[in-house]
Amino acid sequence: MLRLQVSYDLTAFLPPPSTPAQSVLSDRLGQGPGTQLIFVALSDKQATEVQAIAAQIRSSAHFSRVLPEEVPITKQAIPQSLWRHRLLLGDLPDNAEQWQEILAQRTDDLMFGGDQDLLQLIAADPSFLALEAIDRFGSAVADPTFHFADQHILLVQSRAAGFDIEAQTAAVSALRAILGSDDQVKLYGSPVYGVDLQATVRQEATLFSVAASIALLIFVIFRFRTWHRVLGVALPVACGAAAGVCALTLAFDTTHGITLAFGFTLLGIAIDYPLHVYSHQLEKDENTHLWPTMRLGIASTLVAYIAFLFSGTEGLQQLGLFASVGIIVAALVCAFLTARPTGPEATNSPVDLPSEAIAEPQRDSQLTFLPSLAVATVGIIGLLNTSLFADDLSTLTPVDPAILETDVQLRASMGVTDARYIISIHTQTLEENLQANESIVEQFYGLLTSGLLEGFRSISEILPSQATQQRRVDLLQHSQALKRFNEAADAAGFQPEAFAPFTDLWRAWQQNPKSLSIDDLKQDPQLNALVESSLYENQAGWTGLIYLQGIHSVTALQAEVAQIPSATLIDLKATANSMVAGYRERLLTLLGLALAVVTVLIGSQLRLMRALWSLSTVAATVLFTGAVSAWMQSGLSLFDIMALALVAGLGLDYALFYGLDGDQAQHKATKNSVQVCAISSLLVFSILAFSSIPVLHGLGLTVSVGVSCAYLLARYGRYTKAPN
Amino acid sequence: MPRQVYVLLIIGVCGICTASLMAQEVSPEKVNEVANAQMLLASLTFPANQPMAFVQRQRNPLLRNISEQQGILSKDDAGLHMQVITPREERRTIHQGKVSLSRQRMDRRTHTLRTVTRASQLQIDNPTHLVLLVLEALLTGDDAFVQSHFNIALITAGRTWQLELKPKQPELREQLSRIQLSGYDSHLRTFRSEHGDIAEANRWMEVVIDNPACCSSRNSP
Repeated sequence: MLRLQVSYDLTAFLPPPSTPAQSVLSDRLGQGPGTQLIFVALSDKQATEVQAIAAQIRSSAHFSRVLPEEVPITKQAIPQSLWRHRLLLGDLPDNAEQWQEILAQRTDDLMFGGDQDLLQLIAADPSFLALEAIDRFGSAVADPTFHFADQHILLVQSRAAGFDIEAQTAAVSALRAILGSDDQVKLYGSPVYGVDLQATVRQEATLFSVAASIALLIFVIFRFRTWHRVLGVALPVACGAAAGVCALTLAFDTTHGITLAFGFTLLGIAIDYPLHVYSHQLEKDENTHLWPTMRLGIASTLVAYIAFLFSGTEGLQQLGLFASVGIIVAALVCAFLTARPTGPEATNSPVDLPSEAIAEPQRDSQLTFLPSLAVATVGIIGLLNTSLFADDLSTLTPVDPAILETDVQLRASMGVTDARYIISIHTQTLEENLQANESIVEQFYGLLTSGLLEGFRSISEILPSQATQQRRVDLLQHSQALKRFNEAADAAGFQPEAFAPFTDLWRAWQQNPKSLSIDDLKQDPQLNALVESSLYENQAGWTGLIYLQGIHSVTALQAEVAQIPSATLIDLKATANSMVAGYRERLLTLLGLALAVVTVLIGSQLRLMRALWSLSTVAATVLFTGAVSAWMQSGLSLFDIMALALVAGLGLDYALFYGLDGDQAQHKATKNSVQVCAISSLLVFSILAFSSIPVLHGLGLTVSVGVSCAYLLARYGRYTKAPN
Repeated sequence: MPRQVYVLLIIGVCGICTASLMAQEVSPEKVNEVANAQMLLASLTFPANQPMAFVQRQRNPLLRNISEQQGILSKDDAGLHMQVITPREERRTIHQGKVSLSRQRMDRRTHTLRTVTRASQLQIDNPTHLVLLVLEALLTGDDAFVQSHFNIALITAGRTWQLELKPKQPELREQLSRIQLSGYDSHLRTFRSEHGDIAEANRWMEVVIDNPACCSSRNSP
C-alpha cells in the first residue's frame, strides 16, 4: 500500500479514440494553450498599481508570462533558434518597390532617436523577418485590449501543464498570495476553476464522508450495542479496501484518483454482509439460508464489477479490480469474524452448500409481482418522457455559470485562442503536414480579410516546410537579389555599411545555407511548449493543430474548411460528448452482459418464481430510480449509471433475502437485517445527496432513491397469506 | 615661539578656512538660475484643441542624411497627438505613459493596405521612450515628471530662452545625453534630444513647433 501512486490523468478513464477528432481530444486533453491561462481582473486600481502587481507576478517562478508586457524590440528578446534562421522565416522582397516600402518603415521607426538595441535589430534584420514571424505565431489578433467592464485585466500564463493539478495548485496559491485578500480582485481561467474545484471536492468529500461515517457508526452502535460487533461491521470493508489497494499497486504503476473515490463507493455494499449476520444473530435466528443467500448476492455483485475489467480503459479496469478484490476479501473477513464454533448445533456456517440451504420448509406468505410491475411501469413512462442521458460533461462542473460566461467574454476580448474549435491536420510525414499547414494558412488569410475569422496561430509561421525553406534559399542565392537590396538601401538614404550584419549573413548563406528543423525549435526552451502544442507525432503519423481566434460564424467556417483537403474543423465539446456517449454505450453493454450472467446464475440457484420475482424487483428498482434521477438531473451521467449498478446490487441483496421463505421468526430476522442494511445505505447516501458537487449529489440522490425503492419493493412484494 | 608668529599663523588658517568655505557655497546667482529654470518649465503651456504644425528631423548613424517629417501637433483629453503627414502618414498618440502608433502598411500576405496599430507602455529606463515621455510631460504641463528625472539648467534667460535637461540616472546618460529646449515666453518652440557622443552629433532628434500664438519661424533662436 505504501507504493501507491495516485494520478489524476483523465485520459485513463477515456475509451480508446475511434475517430481522428477523438484522437486529438485524447492527445491534447489538458494540454492546450488555454489550459494555462489565468485572467486577473482588477477593479479600482491605478495603472501604476496594476504595473506593480504585474511585476510581482512576473518575478514568481510559477509564471512564464504576464500580459500586457512591453517586450523590448531587441534581438535578445527573439528566441535564438529563430534568430539564427531568420532568413528562412519569411519571403524577402523580390523587387525594389517592396524594399523601398520596408526601408521607409524602418526610417520611420528610427524617428525618435532609436536606441542602440533597435539600431542593431534593424541593421541585422531590416525586414523584421524574425519579429513578424513571432508576431504572427504568438498573437494574430491586432489589438488585444486589457480592459474589460471597467477593470484592468492581466493575462497570466502558468508554467504548469493544464492537467498537473498539483503544480496548478501551487501556482494559483502563489498568485493569491501576491494579490492578497483584496475584494477588488477576481480570478478567472481553467487553472483557477480546477484548483478551486479540487479544494471544494476534497473539502466536501471529507465533510460528507466523515458525516456519513459518523452517522453510520452511531446507527451501528445503536443497533448492536457491542464494540466487537461495531468493529465487525467496519473491519470487513476496511480489509477489503486495503486488499483492493494492494491489488492496484501490484497490477498498475499508478492508480487514478477517481478509481479510489468510486471504488470505495462500490465497496460500500460489503457493509451489508456483517449487518446481515449480526442482525440474524441478534434475533437468535439460526437461518440456514443466510450465508448461501449472501454468497449468491456476492457472486452477482462480483459479476458486475468483474465486467469492468473488460471495459478497455485503464481507469475502469482499476475500478473493477479494486471493487472485485475488495468484495471478496470483505466477504472472507466477515465470514471469519462472524463464524461460530462448529458442531452439531452449528447451523449458520458460511460454508453450507447452496442448493441444500435454499430449500424452503414452510410457506406462510407469498411473493407478488404487482408492486414491481407498477413501479416498473412508472419508471418506463418516466424514462420515455425525460432526457435519458446527459453526455455534456460541462453540466458536471460546479462552476457558477455567470463566471463561465465572463470567462468566455474575457477570452474573446483578450484574443485568446478559441477553447472549443480547432483545426487539425493529419498526415503521414512531417513535411506533408507543414506543407498542408502552409496551404491552409494562405487560405485563412483570405478569411481574415473577409472577417470570418479574427486570427489564427499556425506552427508553419515559425517552422516553414522544407520546400518553402528551399524556395527562400533559392531567392537568397539569386544573383540579383542582394544587389537589389543594396540599391534600395542606398536609394532610401542609408549608409553603405548600415546593414552589414544582414548582408554578411546573406552572403554566408549564399555559400552555405542552413535548414531549420523541428528539433531546433524543441531544443529552444522559449519555444518547446508552443511547438509541442501545435505539432506532434503519434502512432498514426503527424498531427498539426491550428488554433483559432474570434470565429464569427462556425457554420461558414465549417463550409470553408470542408473545401480544404486534409483539414478538419474539430468541435472539442461535441467530440467530448461523443466520447462520453460511446463510453456510456460500452458501459451499458458490459453491464447488460453482466446482467445476463447474473440472470443465469440466479435462475440456476433459485426456483423459477423466486428468481423471476427477485430479478423483477431489481429491474423495477433500476427503471424507477433511473427515471427519477434522469428527471431531477436532466439526464443520467456516467456516474449515475455506475450508481445504478450499485443500486442493482443492493436491490438484489434485499430481494434475495425477502424472497426467502420461512417461518415468522425467520422472516422477522430477515426483515430486520434487510432493514438495517437499507437504513445504513440510505443514511450514508442521503447525506451525500446534499453535496454541491454535481457528481456527488447525483451519486447520493440516485443511490438514496434506489435503496428506498428496492427496500420497499422487496418489503411489500411479499404478503402474508390469510389463514384458512 | 614669538607672539607675532602665533598671530600670523591664526590669521593664515582663518583665511584658508574662509576661502574653502566660499568655494563650497552655491552662489546666489546659481540658486536663482535653477529656480528660474523650474519656474520656466512650470509656466510652459500648450493649448488644448489648437492644432499646430510641427517639423521633426532626425540624424541617425544608419542614415546618410537628416530625415524629416512634417505634420500637425494637437492635444485633447485623449492625449498628445502627432499626426504625421509627410513623407508617410502616421499617427502617434501619447497618453498617460503609453504610446499608440498607427500606420498604413501593405500586408505582404493579403496584399491589402491596412492600418496597423501598436500600443506600447513607455518605460522610463528606455531612452527612446523617455524622450516621448518628456515631450508629453512638457506639452501637458507635467513639469514634476521632468524635474524628477532630469537635472535642469538654464542656458539663456529672457523672452527667448534655452533650457538643458540631463538625465539624473547615469545609465541613461550613456544613451540619452541631453535634451535641449528652446522657446519664447511660455511657449515651447524646439525640442531636441541628443544621443550618444554629443561631440559626434550623429544621433539626435528635433521637433520644431510652429506656434502662431507666440512666434513664427523667424523668432527661432
